[in-house]
Amino acid sequence: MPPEAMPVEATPLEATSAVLPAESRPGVSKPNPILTARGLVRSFGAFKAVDIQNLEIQQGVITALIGPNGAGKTTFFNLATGFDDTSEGSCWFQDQRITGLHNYQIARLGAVRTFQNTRALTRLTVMENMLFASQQQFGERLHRVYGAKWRRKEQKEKERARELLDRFALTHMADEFAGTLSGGQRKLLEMARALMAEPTMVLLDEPLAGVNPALGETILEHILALKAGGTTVLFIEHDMSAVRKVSDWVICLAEGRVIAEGTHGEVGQNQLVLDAYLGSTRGGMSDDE
Amino acid sequence: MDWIGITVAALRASVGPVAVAYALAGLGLNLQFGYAGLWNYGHVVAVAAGAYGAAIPLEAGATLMVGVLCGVAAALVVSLFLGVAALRLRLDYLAIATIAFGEIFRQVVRSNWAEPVTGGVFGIQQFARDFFDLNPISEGRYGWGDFSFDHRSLWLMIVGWTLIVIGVLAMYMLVHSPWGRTVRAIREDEQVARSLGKNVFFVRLQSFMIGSVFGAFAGVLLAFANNVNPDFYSLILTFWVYTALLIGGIGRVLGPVVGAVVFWFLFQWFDGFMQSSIAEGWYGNLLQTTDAGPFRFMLLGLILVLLVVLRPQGFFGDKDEALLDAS
Repeated sequence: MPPEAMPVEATPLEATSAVLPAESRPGVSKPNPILTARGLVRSFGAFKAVDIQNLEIQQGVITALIGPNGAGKTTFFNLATGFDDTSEGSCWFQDQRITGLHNYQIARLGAVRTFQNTRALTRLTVMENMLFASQQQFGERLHRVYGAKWRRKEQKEKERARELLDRFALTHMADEFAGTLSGGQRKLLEMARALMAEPTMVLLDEPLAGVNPALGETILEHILALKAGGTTVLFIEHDMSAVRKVSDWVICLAEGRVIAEGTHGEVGQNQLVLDAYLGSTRGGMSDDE
Repeated sequence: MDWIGITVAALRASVGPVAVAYALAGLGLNLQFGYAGLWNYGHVVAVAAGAYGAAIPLEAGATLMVGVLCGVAAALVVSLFLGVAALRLRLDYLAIATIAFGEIFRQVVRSNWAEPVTGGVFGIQQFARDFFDLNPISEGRYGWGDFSFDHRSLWLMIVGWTLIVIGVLAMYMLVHSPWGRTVRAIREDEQVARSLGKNVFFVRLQSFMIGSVFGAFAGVLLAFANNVNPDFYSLILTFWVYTALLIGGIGRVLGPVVGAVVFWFLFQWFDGFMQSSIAEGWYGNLLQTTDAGPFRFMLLGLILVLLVVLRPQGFFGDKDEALLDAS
């Protein structure tokens, strides 16, 4: 049985400046898409882990990607961020075709992802974890290492890092090795670090996995704050109450295909979605992996 | 037993030209292995490329400057080639590829086919005249009692220790820069680095090639000290440099320098100790004088085991850091 879902009142969404699409069918086109997938296929032999005809992620909103285990959610993330090879089809980020680019090039365009298993750089300090993520490091180029200029420029980055650490309540740990952080702190650091890169879009792979409910709330608030700051968020989540709380739009994948799209209310009542969950995992829409 | 004599001989070895070369090679390996996390088991290739790269043009009559630059250039070319080929592999395969390449390199330079250029199994001699002509020290032995060096060794040591000081400063600035931070971050988790827009392959190639430059200087110095002989550049040299690095502390700028000094002190001390104790008949008929060689390695191995158990971070390392889970 799934853990009893917390009673969720329909939380009023933060005012969304973006206008959501009028229709709710799989592959519906949206105003101002930031990430687009067309005919995207990832096959392993005869098996198609991802087989998406048409999918658009809208700029400036929070989109949740749900689906039973093995639905292809993480594989889709990997394809969109260049961490896996696309078999057929393409993705576009803003107006640029990104399929075929290296993963680090896609990140430089502004699409930054996190990973399902938290990945702190354990033998770097928390502050170093932050600074390293910046895209504005003058002294990161080898030929500038022996100049004096990067030290001055680094001060600005340090200030930005401190502000972010403040926001994520990690300031007191700034000079400790990231390996000494607790699991929850690592989750926070991972988010803060992604923001240090100043992304236009973040792709969060199960940001709430293995996190206690209180910290979960905090992370959800951070996700809402991201949207308020103009960052587009796409996140994979199993916990439906969390999805309800923050997402403007929900996309459900099953067996590699988009089977439903819409607001959480619409998707939650969609028969295909209920069948996909109940048919594949008896536990239903819980978060066990 | 002459304890003082053994210890003085060991002290002499610990700061001598060979220890200096190990320290330089270790500085480079520390960047590759300690900071960048690259399992380079073919560091000897950079050392040998430096030695041959300098010796071949010098023997043909090039000036000293050209010879040294050729040595460094040879190491850069070889490491570029090896890096482009092997740094795309997973790191465990990198270890295998570099071991293989180290052996291939040695077999090529010692082959009959390459003999006209590399001297084959005979190596190259008598090419360092220009280097020793620059020696400001007049002929003789200098020092206190047994702790003394001839003018040639002293000149090698002055140049070598100067190179070490410059190398340590250069390395310190390198690893404490944002570039060095990215190098270490990639060591921790290359996927995270990629997800944040870092070109992992390129940064690795940079650190690999810079490490090879340090190896090349070590090779040039060894060539001046001992001539060039292909079988000197066998796989074991890489592992001795690793041992020195482990002793000093991986991922610390001064680690390889202290490590090389301690390594050569211990090595020479055990050698002297085994020679004398066998000569004095401590072990009866159990050990002969010819057994001294293998036994000093056993003692060195024992020290290494004790070190890993009792002080895994080396002399300079940070134990908390060393024991943090890398994953």
